[in-house]
Amino acid sequence: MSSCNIKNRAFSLLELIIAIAILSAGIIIVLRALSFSVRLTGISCDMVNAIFLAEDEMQELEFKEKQNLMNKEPAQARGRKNKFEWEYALNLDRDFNLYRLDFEIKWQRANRAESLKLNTFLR
Amino acid sequence: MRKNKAFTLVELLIASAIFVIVVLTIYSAFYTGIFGYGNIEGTIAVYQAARQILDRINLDLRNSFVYSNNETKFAGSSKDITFLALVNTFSGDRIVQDYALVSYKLEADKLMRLCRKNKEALNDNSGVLPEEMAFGVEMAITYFYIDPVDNSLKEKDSWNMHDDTEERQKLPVAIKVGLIIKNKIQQEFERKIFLSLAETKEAR
Repeated sequence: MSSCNIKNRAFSLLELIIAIAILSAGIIIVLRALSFSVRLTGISCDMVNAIFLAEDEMQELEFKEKQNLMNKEPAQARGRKNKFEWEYALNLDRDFNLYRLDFEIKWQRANRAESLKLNTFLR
Repeated sequence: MRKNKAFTLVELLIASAIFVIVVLTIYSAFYTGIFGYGNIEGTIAVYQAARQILDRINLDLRNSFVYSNNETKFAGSSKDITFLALVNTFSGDRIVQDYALVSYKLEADKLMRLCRKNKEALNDNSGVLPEEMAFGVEMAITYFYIDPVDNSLKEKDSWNMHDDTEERQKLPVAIKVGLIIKNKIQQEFERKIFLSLAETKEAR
C-alpha cells in the first residue's frame, strides 16, 4: 500500500458513497417534483368539478331570487355531490341591498383534505 | 507480478452487477416519469375538453332567447339540442353580438356544434356545416320545467318544438348536461344550467 503513489490512486469507498448519495439525491428530487405535479394536476382537475358545482348552485340561487323565493332572511344550505361536500351562507347586505354568498367546497384527495372558498354578491 | 494483474472474473461480475443495478434504477425513474406524464396529459386533455364544451354550452344557453310569443324555437332530446341565442363574434377589432341558431348534436361519439348566424339562423338550407368540438363523448341532456300543480322543478328528457303543447311557447327553466369523456381515461361531468331568460313568474 505504501508503494502506491498519488498517480495510481483509485476512488476510495467514501468517495464512491458520497457520489452515489449525491446521484440518488438528484433522482429523488426529480421524482418528488414529478409526484408533486401529479398531485397538483389532480387538485386542479377536482377544482374544475368544484367550480362547476358552485356555478350551478349560484345559478339556482339566481333562479330562486327571480322566483321571489328569497325573503331577505339569512339562509344556509349544505349538500353533497359525489365526493364534494358543499356549504353556503347567504346574507343580505343592507348597505348595497345585495345578497352576499359565501360558498365553501370540501373534498378529500389521496387522504388529504382540500377546500375551496368562493365569495360573491347576488343581485 | 503486481504490474500485470488483470481484473478477475469475480471482480468483473460484481462491477457489472452494480452497474446494472444503477442503470435499472435510473431507467425505472425515467419510466415512472414518462408514464406519469402520459397519465397527466390524458387527464388534462379530458378535463380541458369538458371545460370547453360545458362553458360553451353554458354561455350559449344563458344567452338563449324566445323567438316570438307563440314560438320559442327551442327543441331538444337527450342527445341533441337546438335553440336561438346571442353569440359574440369578432368584427375587425371589436366584439359584436349576433343572433344565431345554435345546435349541439351527438353523432356517434363526436359532439358537433352548429352555429348559423344572422340571416342564416332560420334558413335550414343555408349550407352552414357543424363543427366538431370533441370526440369520445357521451352526452345526456335533461330539461327542467316548473310543474304548475305544486310549483316544483320536474325533469323530462325532451323538449318539443312542433307539438301543440305549451312547450313550444316556453323555455325550459334549466338544463342538465351530463357528459362522459373517454380518452386515455374516462371521466364523468355534470352541469345544471339555469336559463336566465326563462319565465318563472307565472309559477307563483
